[in-house]
Amino acid sequence: MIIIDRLHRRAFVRAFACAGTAFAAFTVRSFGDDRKAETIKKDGDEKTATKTPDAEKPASRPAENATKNADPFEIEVEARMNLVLARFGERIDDKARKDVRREVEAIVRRARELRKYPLDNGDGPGTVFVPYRAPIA
Amino acid sequence: MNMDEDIAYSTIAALGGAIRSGAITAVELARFFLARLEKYGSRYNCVVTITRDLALEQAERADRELKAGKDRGPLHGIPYGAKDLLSTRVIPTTWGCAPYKDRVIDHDATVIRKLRDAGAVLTAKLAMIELAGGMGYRQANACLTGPCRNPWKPSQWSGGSSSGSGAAVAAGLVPFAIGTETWGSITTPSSYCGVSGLRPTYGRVSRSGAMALSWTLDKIGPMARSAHDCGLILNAIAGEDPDDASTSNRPYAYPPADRLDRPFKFAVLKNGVSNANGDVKANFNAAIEILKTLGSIEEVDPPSLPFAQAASTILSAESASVYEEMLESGIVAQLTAPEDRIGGYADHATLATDYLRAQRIRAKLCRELDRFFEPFDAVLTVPTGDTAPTAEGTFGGRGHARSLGGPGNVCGTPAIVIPTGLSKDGLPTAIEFDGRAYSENRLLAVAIAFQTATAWHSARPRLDD
Repeated sequence: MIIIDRLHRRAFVRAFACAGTAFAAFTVRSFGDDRKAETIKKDGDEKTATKTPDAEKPASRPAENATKNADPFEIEVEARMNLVLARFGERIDDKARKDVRREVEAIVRRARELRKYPLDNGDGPGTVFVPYRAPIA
Repeated sequence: MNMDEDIAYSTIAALGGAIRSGAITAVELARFFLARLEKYGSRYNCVVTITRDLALEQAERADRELKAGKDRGPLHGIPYGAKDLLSTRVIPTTWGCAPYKDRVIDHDATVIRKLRDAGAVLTAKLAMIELAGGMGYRQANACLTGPCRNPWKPSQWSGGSSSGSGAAVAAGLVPFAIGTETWGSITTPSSYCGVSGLRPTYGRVSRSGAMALSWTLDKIGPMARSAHDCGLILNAIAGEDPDDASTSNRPYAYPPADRLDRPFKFAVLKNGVSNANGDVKANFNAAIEILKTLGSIEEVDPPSLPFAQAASTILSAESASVYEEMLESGIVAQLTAPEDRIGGYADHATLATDYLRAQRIRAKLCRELDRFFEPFDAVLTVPTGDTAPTAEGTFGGRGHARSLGGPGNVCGTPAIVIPTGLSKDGLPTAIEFDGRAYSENRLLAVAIAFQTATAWHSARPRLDD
């Protein structure tokens, strides 16, 4: 029982830590890597600051600076990888992590390709929702 | 008719004729194929379960009905095998993976029910790549029953994920089989095994009772000895189904009432086979020469659009949800291929916005692809850039070809694959005909015209005794 409790606690701490990292990185990532994004990135930081009082603390600044200077692709991969690890980390050993990360990189690469494709507001998804009503017996 | 190899490689029409003429009974035919399944099934690792009792019961019914004057149509009394992701009452449905080796889903898939209603006789549940390849396998040994071997050369793989469906038809263990495709799972084994395989339009065939890998990409289709046989089978399994909301209400009938009264119009992709294996290329070019006698051929470039990226993103997101419980429970750790035990985790890094963006782009891609297909009866490609890879170890670097697999699957359009000959080392090569949504009969007409002019679909592998 003690072992299980410890495992649960460790899993919780890891998940919490990873989710936090993911959120921070997403805030930066979501706004892309061009000049226009730089302005919005500041907005993003402000949003983070208002929602997360800890972000005001000086201790968080080095990490924020690090993410600002990092490759946006790597930041996005890291954030998504952390989402996977937060949920399934206990089942993925060090060797497997490399494979999983490679797959995550492919997913991010595809997502970035798709973001380049222009869409209009009226371009709905290729699936159609059909309301259900049981046939008359 | 004598019980010899000729029966094993007969078409549905020939077998049906023999049953109706009284040359053979449905029970004799079932026993003949059951014996072959027992003799060769384990040699090629292509069978999961031989359904002897059910087969004999269905065959007895077929004989009884014919005697009483009731003929259910071309499939009446014809044995077949089903990929083991189609649910069957009483009989286990394994999805090709060890954790489910004894699992019974006590319900018949719509396709199984429709084939029973058409008089067909289920003789076997056939091998497949575990979870239809949804975990990203990289080797033939990603299967409960071991690597499925190619009847043309057992050191080579049969293709996947409808591995057993391809191998069993090629080895003459069943006259036809049912396969499924999310992305290449009918076309690839048909190509590697030298059989005729039809991937119908999305929604043409109900998936109720079939394992889901990707709800908006999965299709079910026939694999058989000829294009004509594929048409007969599709006629029996197509149609709207209240149990599968994705099914189309567009009517389907084969043989079609009307015939094309002009030469065909074909397109071939620019540099389509430039980087393909030499034999694949040579046999494709020889096939093109034959097709030139049947119609005109124009060289074209497919639209340069993110078909593959959209397809992969949709597949990632949908399969992440499909297999969520398996990942949560840790069941995936029991899969055969080591890469499949971890292959599903990364899919959970796909965001809802990625998925919806891919689906929005998909709607536009479908229009673009239809515009591309519209002037032609069929666009000609090779389904695979190489012949069958080894059945041992990881798949290596190989020949490549420009394919319509990504566009065709993400847009749900149909394709048929038929044999074009053999490579120097005796492995089958193939050609693929792609066309507009719901154009199965046009593609079948092209394939039948090609098979009337050639005999590659009648070639048989030598099964060493």
